[in-house]
Amino acid sequence: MIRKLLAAIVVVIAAALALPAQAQVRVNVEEGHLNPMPVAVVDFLAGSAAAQQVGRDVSGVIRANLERSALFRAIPTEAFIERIQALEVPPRFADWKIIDAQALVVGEVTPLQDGRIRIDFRLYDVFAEQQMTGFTYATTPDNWRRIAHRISDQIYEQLTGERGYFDTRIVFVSESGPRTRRIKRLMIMDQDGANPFFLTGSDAMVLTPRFSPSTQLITYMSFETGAPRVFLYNLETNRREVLGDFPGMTFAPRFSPDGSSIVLTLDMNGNSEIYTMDLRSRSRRRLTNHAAIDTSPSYSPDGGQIVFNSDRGGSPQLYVMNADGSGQRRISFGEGRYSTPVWSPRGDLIAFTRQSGGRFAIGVMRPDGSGERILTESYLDEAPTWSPNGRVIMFFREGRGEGARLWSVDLTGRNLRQIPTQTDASDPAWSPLLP
Amino acid sequence: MRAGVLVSIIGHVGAVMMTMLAWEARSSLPEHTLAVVPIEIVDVAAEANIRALAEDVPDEEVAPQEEQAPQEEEPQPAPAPTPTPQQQRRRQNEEFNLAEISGMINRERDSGRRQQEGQRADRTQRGAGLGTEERASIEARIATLVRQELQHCWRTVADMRDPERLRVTVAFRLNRDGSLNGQPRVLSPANYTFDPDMNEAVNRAMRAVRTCDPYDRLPDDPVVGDHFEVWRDQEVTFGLRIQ
Repeated sequence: MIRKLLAAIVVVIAAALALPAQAQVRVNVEEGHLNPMPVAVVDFLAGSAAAQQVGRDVSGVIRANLERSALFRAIPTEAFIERIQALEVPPRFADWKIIDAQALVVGEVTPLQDGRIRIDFRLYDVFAEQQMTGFTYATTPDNWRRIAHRISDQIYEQLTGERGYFDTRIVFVSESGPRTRRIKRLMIMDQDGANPFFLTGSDAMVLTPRFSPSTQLITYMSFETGAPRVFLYNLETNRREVLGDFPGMTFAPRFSPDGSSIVLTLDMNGNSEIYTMDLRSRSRRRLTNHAAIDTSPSYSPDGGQIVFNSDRGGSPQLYVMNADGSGQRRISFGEGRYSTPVWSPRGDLIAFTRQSGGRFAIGVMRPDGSGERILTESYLDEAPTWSPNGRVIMFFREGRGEGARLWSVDLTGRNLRQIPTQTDASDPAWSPLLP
Repeated sequence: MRAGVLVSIIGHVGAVMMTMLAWEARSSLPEHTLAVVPIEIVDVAAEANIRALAEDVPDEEVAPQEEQAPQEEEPQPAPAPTPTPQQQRRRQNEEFNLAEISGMINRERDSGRRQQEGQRADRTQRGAGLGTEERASIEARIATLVRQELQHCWRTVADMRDPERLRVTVAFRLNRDGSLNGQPRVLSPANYTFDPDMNEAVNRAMRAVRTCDPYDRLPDDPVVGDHFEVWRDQEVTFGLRIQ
């Protein structure tokens, strides 16, 4: 017994003596930076002259996407030391470390026998000296921009741990013509402003387009039939239809997260209430019942709650209710009038428009109303829409006496950028990632 | 007066016509069907990871080891995969000048470092017999130096969801010249594979440790430079200050 005790004491003493030899300096790092990560995107390799142009274009779109996110900085190609000559040979990481590239993107464009093109790409972690991912894509030559966006999404996902948002489209209201006879048509384009197309003609005014978060369906309001009506537009089939036969005006439609139903506002005799409508059975259900105006509903991403706008408290404010209409409670208490609430696809924030002191602002708050932050403010900023990863908000801005234009801002509020459009543009709606 | 009215009318008519022309041009964008053009996608990450594949193959042409500090104290990281002899020769020819210049610079820097290390080795091994107070003050200075370096290399998690939760502790070992010895390893959290936010926090911590390599300020510091035994092993926790 005593021997065992002695042995135990010896072990404890030995362990105590051994500790300093293995001691580690313990350091806490609590402050860091949020600078854009330097990334080197090499012009994609190619055999033929035509493929070389595609290679340069793909790399250019990737660089522009990464730069626009403000999370990355594309290192100028003139700074590159190594000239990548074959995709199969690993890069000389030391050459990329010298120019401070954290990640390296290389790729190759190859024309295929059947007329399509194949694009290969590799993403390397320069300091870990290892490949992070690699993909091969094949498509028609005129679809190269989508591949560039897909590659951008892969890079974004690997380097930030979040889903990307580059392979997406924006539907919006294109505005043209004199102020007294404004023509408002539905238009769609890539998220970077490329490939714009009209979806509707110039005979009827359209408003508030919204993308389904899970399908290639759009809902919007149109005066095509005389009175304002909510329409559905299927991008795959190019067909559109009036949604339901309501006795009054319908407006402010928005899809449920699974795309199976729509929540909208129905106005009868001057009283606006919020309804849901199942897209299969077309059955509808009223969610609010109040003498005040209840409008602009938007689902939480889990489908369990709805944020909406109501002036039941005297001025337009934001309210949240359960998806069945129960538990209605006010969440906005700041100065000014709150409108157009949109729940983030991440679920953690609600974006809104706030009108205060003669100016309009785009802001975010938590679903319980706390943590309100204004991201951008001007003469008129309105109609926020979220990128599918919940990091960027697009909206429209109108100056005094100027036409409306689309802008985007990230959650820091620092990365404010105008989106190029060929006409004046308002009411943007961001698509989910393309299938 | 009449001339002014005339000029005004001409001006207005001109402006209206210009607007109509521009409007017409804007309206002439094509209407298209918008079905998404499919893309065939193949994940080639595993097949294309030449480096990982190469690590499975025994290297026949391993470059002779350079002079190093004692192996027991500083085990070397696994040798980098060697390209095939043909590739190697081709690349050697292509990059002859750059490689030569870079080698010269490295040799010069290495010889300088070795000289410094030799001088240090000649001195008394002060770290071995440190008093508690002296050790504490040296550790505090080392922690400050390492923190100052890593603050510039760590991309904070402040922009992520629920950032206070994302605390990551990594351990790493340094060589006498301040360079990283082997790869950093994660001490905590223990399991983060299925937690995308924590996964990203770990990536940011690991990237910070690698990006800051070499930790030159430690061997060059007049106070702690000689106490390699104290700063050889580091344990760093990355995370926002808990209020």
